[in-house]
Amino acid sequence: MPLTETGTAAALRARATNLRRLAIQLAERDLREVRRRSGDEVWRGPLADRHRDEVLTAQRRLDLAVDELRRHALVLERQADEADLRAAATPGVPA
Amino acid sequence: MTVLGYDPFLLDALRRHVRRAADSLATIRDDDPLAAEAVRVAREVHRLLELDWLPAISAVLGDDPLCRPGAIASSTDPWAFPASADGFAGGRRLDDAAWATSFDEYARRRLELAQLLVDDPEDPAARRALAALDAEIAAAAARYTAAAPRDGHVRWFPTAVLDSSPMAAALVLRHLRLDDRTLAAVAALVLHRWHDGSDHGVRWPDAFAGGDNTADVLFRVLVDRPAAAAEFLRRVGPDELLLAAQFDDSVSRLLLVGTSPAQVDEATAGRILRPLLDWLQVHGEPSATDGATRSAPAIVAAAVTPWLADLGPRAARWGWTYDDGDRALRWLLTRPAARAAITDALAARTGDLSEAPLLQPDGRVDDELVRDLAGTFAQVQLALRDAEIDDAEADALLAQLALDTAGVAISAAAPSGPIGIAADVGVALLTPVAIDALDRWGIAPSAEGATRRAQQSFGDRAIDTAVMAVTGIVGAAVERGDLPPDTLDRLDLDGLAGPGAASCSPREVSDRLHAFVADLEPLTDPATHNALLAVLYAFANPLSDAQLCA
Repeated sequence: MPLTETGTAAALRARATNLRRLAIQLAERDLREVRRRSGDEVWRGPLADRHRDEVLTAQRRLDLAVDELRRHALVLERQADEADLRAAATPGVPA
Repeated sequence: MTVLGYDPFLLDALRRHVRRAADSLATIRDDDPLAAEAVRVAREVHRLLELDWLPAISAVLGDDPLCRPGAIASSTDPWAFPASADGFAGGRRLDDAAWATSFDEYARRRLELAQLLVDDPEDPAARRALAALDAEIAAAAARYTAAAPRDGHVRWFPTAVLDSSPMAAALVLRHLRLDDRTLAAVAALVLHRWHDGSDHGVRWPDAFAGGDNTADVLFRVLVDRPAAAAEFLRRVGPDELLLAAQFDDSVSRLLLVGTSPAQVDEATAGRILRPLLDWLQVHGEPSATDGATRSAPAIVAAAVTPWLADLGPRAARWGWTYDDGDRALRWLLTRPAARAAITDALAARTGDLSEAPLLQPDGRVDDELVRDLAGTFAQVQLALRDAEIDDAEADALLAQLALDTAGVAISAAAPSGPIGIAADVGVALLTPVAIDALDRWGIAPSAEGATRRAQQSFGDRAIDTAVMAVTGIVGAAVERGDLPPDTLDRLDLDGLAGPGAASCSPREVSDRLHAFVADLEPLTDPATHNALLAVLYAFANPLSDAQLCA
C-alpha cells in the first residue's frame, strides 16, 4: 500500500526522532572522563602519551558522528515538513 | 630523559573508566541506514578501548614492574589491594560473593571477546586480548586457591564458584587445584545450575552467545582429567550431557575419554553408557537447536564400540538382558552415522588391544572371552543383515570388526611382539610378514587390499577373521624368531572353490587352517598354540562351517 504524504511525513519524523535519540546516547558515551583521568599525574611515558592521543582522536570521531546524526535528523525533518506542505496542497488528501 | 611512571591506584581508576566507556559503547545499535556511520564509529572506538587499551593498562597493573611485590592486578579482582603472601588482604579473608562478582566480570568480558572471534576468527587483536584475559583468570583463580583455608581435615570445596554464574565457574575451574573427585563434583553442580537457569529459570547469557558455552568449557576441562571425566559422567544424566554443549566435539571427546577401557572398568562403563543408550532409544536424536548434541547417536556409538560385547554376550555385566543390549545395538546399527562411527572407532582402536586378557596368567585360553568375541561378531552380522544394510557399508564395518577381533588374539599371543607397519590403516598389530601373506590372499587391511577385499574374501567375515588372527599370531612368532621365516608359506589358501562350486569355500578354508595349526604344534610354544586354537574354536569351528555351507 503506497504511503500517503501524511504517512510519509510521519515516517520521516519518526526516523528523525530516532536519530536524535541515538545522537543523545552517543553524546552521553563520551570519553571525556577517560581523558580527564589519564593525565600526567596518573601515568607518564610513551604508552601514556599514545593513550591520550588515541583517546582524543576517538573522542573527536564520536563528536563528528553525533553532529552527523543531528544533521541527518534535521534533513529528515525538513523533508517531513515539505511532505506536509504537498499533502495540504493536494485536493482530497487529508492534511 | 624520558620519564616513566604511574600511580597504581589512579591508573586502576583509569582502567575502570575505560572499561565503563567500552561497555557503554558496546550497546550502541541502530538499523537506520543514516545511522550506519555513527554505529560504525562507536564500534571502532569500542574495539580500540576493549582490545587495545584495557589489555595494555591491565598489563601495566599486572606486571607492576615498579612496585613488586604487592602488585595490583585489577580492581575487578577482590585482591586488587596489596595482599600478604598468605593470600589474605589486610588480614581478612574475602567472602565468596566478592570472588563470585570478580569471576562473573571475567566471564562477561570473555563472552564479548568470544563473540568478536565468532565474527572474525582470525582477528589478531581479539586473540591477544583473549589470551591476556585467560591469563588474568588463571591468576585470579590461583589467588582464590591460595586463600583457601587449610586448617581442617575436610577437603576444601570452592564454594565461590557456586555463587558465580556457571560460565564464570567453568572458566575458573580449570585453574583450581582440585582432586579428580572434587573437580567432577563441582563440574556436575555447575552443569546442574546451568540447566536450571538463573532467576526464574531464565537461561544464562552464554546460552545465546557465540563460541563455547558453559558445558563446552566444562567438558574441555574434564577431557584433560580422564579420571574426573569418568566420575563426572557417572554424576550427570543423559539429558544434561546431550542437551547442553554448543559443539559436538566437546561431548564426543569427554565421552570417549571418560568411558575408555583404559580409564574405567566394564561395570563403570555400563553405568555411564547404558543410560545414554536407553535415553537415545526413547527420545531419539536431539533436534537441531543450540545446546543439543545433534550427532549424539554417532558419539555414543563410538564410545560403545570398545564395549560391544556388553550389548550381547556380556549383557549381564552391564546389568541388562541380552535382548535389551541387542535392541540398543540394532538401534545404533540402523543409523548411518552411528554405523560409520563404529567402523571408524574399530579402525582407530586396532593396535590398542594389548590389555585384552585372552590368555589367562597360566597360559590357558579364556574360553568365555573367546566365546564372547565370536558371539558379538555373529550378533553384529545378524543385525546388519536384518536391517538390510548396504553390502559395501556392512562389509566395511565387519572388516574392521574382524580385524579388531583378530587383533585381540594376536595381541594376546604376542603382547610384546614386533609392531607392524601398515600405517595407512593404522594396523599396528600385524607384522610385515603377516601383512604380506594377507595381502596375497586379498584380505590384507592395506589400502590396496581393501579394494579387492569384497571379491577375494573367503566367503565369510568370520573365516576372514580366523585367517587374519592365525596369520597375525604366526607372523609375530616368525618375527620373534620362534618359527622359521617360511612358516606362513605352509598355509595354502590358493585354489579354493569359487562361488557356486559343489564344495564350500569357508569349510575348505577352515579345514586348511586346522591342518596348518596342527602341523605347527610341535614347533610353537603352548601360549601361541593355545591362542591359535582359540581363534579356530571361535571363528572356524565345524558348527559355523555347517551353518555357512548349509
